Amino acid sequence: MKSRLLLPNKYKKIGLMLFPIFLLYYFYIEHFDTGFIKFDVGFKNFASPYLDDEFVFLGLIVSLMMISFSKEKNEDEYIALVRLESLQWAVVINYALLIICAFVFYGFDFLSVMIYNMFTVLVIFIIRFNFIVYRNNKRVSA
Amino acid sequence: MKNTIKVQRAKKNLTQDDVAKLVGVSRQTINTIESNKYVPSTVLALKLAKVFEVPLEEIFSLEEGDM
Repeated sequence: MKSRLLLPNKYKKIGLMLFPIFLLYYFYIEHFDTGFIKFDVGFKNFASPYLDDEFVFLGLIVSLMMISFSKEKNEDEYIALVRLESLQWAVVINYALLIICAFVFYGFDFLSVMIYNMFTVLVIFIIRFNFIVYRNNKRVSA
Repeated sequence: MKNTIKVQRAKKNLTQDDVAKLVGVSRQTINTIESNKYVPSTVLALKLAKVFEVPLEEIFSLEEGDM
């Protein structure tokens, strides 16, 4: 079975390199409340005069997608099953966390939760998928 | 589902790694099938039968719980 929805293996490494860069970029513009790209159009004035946060959003999503949906070196039908199961896991855990957060955080705090929630599905997926692959590899080589 | 992959491998004197290479999957996959953690696709099962040169039923058979 050939999966046509996956990127070649090398994109995983590219994603793994890009993600920390964009994460640092995010912390930098968040901490110093600044940016490098001025963008002064009326409708955006009330938020931030910079376009950097949009680039950070794009960068984080694209790099996480690259890590998530690149072929493994030994992509086969078992890996495809682990991938599918992990995706289901990630969605279930993500919504469970979101429900808990809905009762714990209110107002603007919940807004922050929603923002982080945009990334957590992919993050949980990556952790679960790679953990299973790592555990199986360890068992095989033991 | 039960399987006799370990026995078949011993008969042919093949390691998990050899079998994996012959059928074109990872060693992890052969290991999970052998330890009953994963049920292979029909295509992979047929490939295994070809490698071991036995009918499919000699490798895989139904168990009580499958009925």
